[in-house]
Amino acid sequence: MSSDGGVDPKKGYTTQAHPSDIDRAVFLGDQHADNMYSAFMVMATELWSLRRRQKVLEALLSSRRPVTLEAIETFIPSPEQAAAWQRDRDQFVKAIYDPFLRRDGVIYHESLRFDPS
Amino acid sequence: MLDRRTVLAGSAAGALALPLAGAKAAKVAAPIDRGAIGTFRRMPSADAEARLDFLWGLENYNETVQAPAAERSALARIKAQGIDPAKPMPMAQAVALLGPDPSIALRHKTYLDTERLKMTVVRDAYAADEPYHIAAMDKAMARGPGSLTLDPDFKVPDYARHELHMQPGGYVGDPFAGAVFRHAITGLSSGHNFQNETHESLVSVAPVPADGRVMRTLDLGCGTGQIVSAMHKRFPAAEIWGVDTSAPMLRFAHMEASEFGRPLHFSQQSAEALRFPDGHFDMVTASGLFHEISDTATRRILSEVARVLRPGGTFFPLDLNTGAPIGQDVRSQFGAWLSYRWFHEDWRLGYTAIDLPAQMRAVGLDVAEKGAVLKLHGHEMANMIATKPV
Repeated sequence: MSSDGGVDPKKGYTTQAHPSDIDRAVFLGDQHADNMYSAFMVMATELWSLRRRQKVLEALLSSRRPVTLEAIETFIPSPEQAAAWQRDRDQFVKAIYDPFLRRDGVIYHESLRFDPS
Repeated sequence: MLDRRTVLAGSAAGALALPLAGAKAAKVAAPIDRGAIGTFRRMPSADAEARLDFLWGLENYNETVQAPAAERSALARIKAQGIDPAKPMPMAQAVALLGPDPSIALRHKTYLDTERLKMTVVRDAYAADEPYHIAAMDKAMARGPGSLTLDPDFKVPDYARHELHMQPGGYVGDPFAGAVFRHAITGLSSGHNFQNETHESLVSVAPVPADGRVMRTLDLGCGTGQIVSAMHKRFPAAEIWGVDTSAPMLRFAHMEASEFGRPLHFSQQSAEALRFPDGHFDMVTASGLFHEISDTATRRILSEVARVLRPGGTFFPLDLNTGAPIGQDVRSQFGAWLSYRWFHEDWRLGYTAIDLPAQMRAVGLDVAEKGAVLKLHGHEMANMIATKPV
């Protein structure tokens, strides 16, 4: 990778770019909270990836098609399957992320009795 | 990321001999060909595709749930301060007012993390089979139809050498910048645009010269060639060109075009000093280019546009609105700051300050403004049409 703006064919025709500092940004008031939120997103992404793979495996098994690596990798869901999986995904996202919207927190030991108002 | 394919690929994939740049031919393991859906090549692995699927879902949630919550919170804050939401406000004051709000912070944290993770997912998927994918782009360089011209002595302008949109390596520092951009930009359209329909829609309203003659067209800052492809679809008999400063983008664009049989011509050159004759093109386009580059470069590029257009030729710059007092209100100021500071649109503020139609007139083009009716990735685009006088 060239550092002077020149292009280096040996490195895929790249030249050096100034890096982003986005990983240093604190949005949630505390760097640990930001780090946790970022890590959480990666874990949720991985979990959905596993669920998708499970759906593909089940689809192959239920259609009695051979379950090979190639069959898994090249599988394309039917329009009905795709729509159902998207609904499932959106519910999955909502279940995970809705709690982050809560803004009316009560410090539990500072509340001596339930106030329905 | 650990990918199941990397563990299992050896038992399932064959080996393919492909020439490597600067090295003798080597055996390169070929990943399973996952094919294309229409004109969109699928991600290299099912797991990576599934990861993107989740992130598109999260992106949609961010837009439909978190963003409205942030908007309500912003309005409440503005109202509490007794401020007119439409009144101009200095950027620093807007950031101080809205920045601390937890709903606004959450909306933008999610957005930026989602974008960054999408890019990382794509980058990792290609890097898992790096020798194969590099060799595939190398092999495609001499393949037609169409052409790819890279300049061995090219110096990338400073304004292009940063991690624009937080993309790892930016547009110029990562050999897979094209793949990352191509898949991530689709994601920016919330999982749509697989068949380039967004860009085809924009190109469908590009103005044709009054005499109807379209023999050659040029797209500036063409990236992975989505506008170029759409221009070819609309004008199949024309010679279609795209230029960009990023070789990795052009390599991906050309590989994709040749794979799908599109006779497109890509060339690495600066739009500030085009290597085309005077009056060479009937139409010139630029999609989202000017708000990503310096205002100095913008002025030089507009001069080049005026030079390479033939009399009666049209220029269709799709870009954000410019010129005061557009976007001076508190929420626009906050959004512009966020794009500049953390989304790394480093030249966004300079672009907002210039008056693009006035700059186009300054280089001798006739300009018509039709108002912001076009959208690209959720942003309103200024609908400007310029014509070189006959």
